[in-house]
Amino acid sequence: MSRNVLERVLWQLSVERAAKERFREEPRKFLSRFALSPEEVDMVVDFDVAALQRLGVNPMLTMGFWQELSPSRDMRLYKERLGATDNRYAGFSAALKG
Amino acid sequence: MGKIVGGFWMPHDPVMFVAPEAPPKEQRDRVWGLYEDCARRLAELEPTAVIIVGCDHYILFGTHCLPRYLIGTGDVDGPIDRLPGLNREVVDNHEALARHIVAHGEGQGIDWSVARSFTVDHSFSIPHQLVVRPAERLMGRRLPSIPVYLACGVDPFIRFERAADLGRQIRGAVETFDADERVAIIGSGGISHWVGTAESGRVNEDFDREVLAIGERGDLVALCGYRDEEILERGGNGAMEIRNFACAMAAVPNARGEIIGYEAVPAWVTGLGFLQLIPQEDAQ
Repeated sequence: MSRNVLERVLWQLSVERAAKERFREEPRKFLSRFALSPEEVDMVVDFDVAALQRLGVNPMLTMGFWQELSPSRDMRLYKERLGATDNRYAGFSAALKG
Repeated sequence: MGKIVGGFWMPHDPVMFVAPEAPPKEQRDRVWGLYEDCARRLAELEPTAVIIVGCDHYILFGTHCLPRYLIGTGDVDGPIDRLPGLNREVVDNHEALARHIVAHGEGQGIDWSVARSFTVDHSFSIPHQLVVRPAERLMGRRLPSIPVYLACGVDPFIRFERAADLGRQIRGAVETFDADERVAIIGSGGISHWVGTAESGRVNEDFDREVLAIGERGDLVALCGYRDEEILERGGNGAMEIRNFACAMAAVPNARGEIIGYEAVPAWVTGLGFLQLIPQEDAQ
């Protein structure tokens, strides 16, 4: 069960500037020092927020990670990746990270 | 002997600052007006100190340390999260009262985690800057404010009964403080909102009005009776913050509630509820 490690990784990537920089430069090298399976590394590198949440990762972390580091940072795309299939809950989402 | 003179429930919705013009103008004006109403009501209580019960959003605390409950006893500043229109500033704490709450708790089976130097997040700063600061201006004096953080956003969550225990212990500590303190307590959070999930933007007005009705009755047993599964289903992961409401309600002697206002605001992803907790001996 790697939920704890995944949450540790995403928390660092959400709040620690140095971690963000290392991840942007060489994501797989940054992730190599954590006890993650190859599949879990792919989830993080691919910003597969749905798979991360299925493993129990806190949605506040997946959202913060997406807003901080994903290529588009687009929250509608984030919700699509989570499986939101319509605009019922379209709206704005918080940029919570400092 | 100190006294809890009243309390409030109010939201701490950061989307108000990120997308201030997203809701219709009349609605957003009503919400800002509700904060002004809370500030006026707070000033009318003539408090000498405020306790704001907030919660981390996986910003302040990481997997290495996840306190169920924590109090700031020393330097306080914040918020740590940058939101347009919310200033990062030093906060006046009431260090003597905060330390007394910790010491009093040790005799009551309440072992507070302590932050001797603490940067708060928006769950403290929104009520502080929208309600406490304006109340200070109305009263013409400073209102030192103590941060209390309960685990509502990150598991392991604090149990409702423990949140209520903390409220009762805070009241006991205030009542044994060696000064004529008049303390108001703010439960910051809620009501329904889904944070970072596919349902983000959903608001469940039925659930929100049910919670407010419980507050109006002062029914702490009913509030503490919510199961996490029900809250997550009906109110979303953000509604776990109603634990802060339980703490504030338990701190106010024989509290009854008066609903100040409610707005369901999908554009701000939250059902925004405002309620004043009135000690029963002072209720009409």
